Amino acid sequence: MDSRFSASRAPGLSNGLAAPAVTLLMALLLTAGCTRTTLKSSVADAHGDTDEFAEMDFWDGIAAAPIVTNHDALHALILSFGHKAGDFRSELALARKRAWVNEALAVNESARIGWIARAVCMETGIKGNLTMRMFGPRERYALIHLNNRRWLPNMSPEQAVSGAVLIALLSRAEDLQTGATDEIEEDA
Amino acid sequence: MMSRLKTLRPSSLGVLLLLASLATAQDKGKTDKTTGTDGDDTASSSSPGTSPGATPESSSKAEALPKGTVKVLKAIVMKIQGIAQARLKPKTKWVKLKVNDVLEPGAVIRTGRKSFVALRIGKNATVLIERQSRIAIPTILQDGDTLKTRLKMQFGKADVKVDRVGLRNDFGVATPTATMAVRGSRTKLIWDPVRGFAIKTSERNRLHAIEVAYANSISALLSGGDGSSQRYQLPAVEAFYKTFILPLLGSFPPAEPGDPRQSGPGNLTESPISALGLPALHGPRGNRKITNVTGGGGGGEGQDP
Repeated sequence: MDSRFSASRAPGLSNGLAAPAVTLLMALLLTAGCTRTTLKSSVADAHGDTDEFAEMDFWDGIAAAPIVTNHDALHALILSFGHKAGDFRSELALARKRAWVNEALAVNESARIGWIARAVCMETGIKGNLTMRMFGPRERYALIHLNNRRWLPNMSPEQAVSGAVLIALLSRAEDLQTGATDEIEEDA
Repeated sequence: MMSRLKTLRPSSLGVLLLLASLATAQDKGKTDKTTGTDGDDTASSSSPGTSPGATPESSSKAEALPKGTVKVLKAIVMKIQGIAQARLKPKTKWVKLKVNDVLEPGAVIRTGRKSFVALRIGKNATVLIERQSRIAIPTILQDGDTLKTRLKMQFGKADVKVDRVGLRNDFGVATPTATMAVRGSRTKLIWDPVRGFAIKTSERNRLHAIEVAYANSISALLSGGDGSSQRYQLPAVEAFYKTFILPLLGSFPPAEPGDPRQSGPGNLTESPISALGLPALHGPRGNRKITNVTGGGGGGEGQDP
């Protein structure tokens, strides 16, 4: 047998310590993997005003953002569906009132695509398929439906979303609401 | 059936005749295409449906520049709905767009939700930038007999119509993932990160309606006599007139002998444009000939947009 391929032990770790160390490492990895990313600030912090230029600067800002925070996602949804924008508290209150979200959202935490998909389906009146019609616009069903419509790139509910994808999603929603021809063609 | 025919009013007959004549003009255009006389690629070929008695002013051709001569063109805003802003030069502030604003190459345009902006770019293109779009226009120029235009679409949706004006069309659109050339056609271009680059059928009626409405507004601006050697004081508007209205006149069926339209060169006030639903354009009357169409006059530099 070639000794180069024989099992080797990590230097400094005895048999008794190796197993707990590996377990601890895996636990740390899992914990870190399940934690949502928190950003230092949101685009809506800087461009959250309601005037025309602030609104356009906000869209420009999130277009380049690799991750959208809860504040950005709420602000974008509220602007897109014609509700009154404000600070994060008032926007979150509006989102709860309209049943977009049930849980508490941290301001600068990365937004889950699940609740965004649910909000989009509720605001655009998308009824979905049989399961969604039976159980209502749950995050999972709403997301599957939007994935099937090719409004989203096959995402899962816990995933974070980039600003460009969020703008594309909201643009498609607007096309559906305004009856743009290309959206009708794709549905047909 | 006969009773229905009897009840046709003269106005209905007039509309039918107008539709028939427009259909004839379209058929003639198709025939020219099949026989290979495509006005798109050769500057010397005649445009479809041009009247044999047409004057130099009413020709649908745009003039070619001497070889090697490059002229920078501009774009003009024809219609706006909702929020439309532009950055006219790099690292400058965004400004709100208005109808008749003139944009130079390098301008970046952004539109908001439920918004659009319609532009006439250079001599040959109409672009409708739709909701939530970011589009730059890095190049608008005429190089000899070639009209070169480049659009850079960061994301969004735009309808593009490139007209045949007797010069070579070199119209390109670049997106983050693809580049496309548009030649004498109408297409809707969409780019988003989910679907990537998509091409759809254009809303040609909407584009045409915007163009005609804009032409209407232009004629309303200058109704009545003015003393300029130009039809329109604003050079961009004058260029629009030359590249859009005149081809429209040129595509109308040829006039019959004895038709008052043939009474003199440049007699645009008696042209069939009123039959197309447009109010009479203010043009030179009688046999007076335009001597300086793109000259200075009261219209600034006299450059085409």
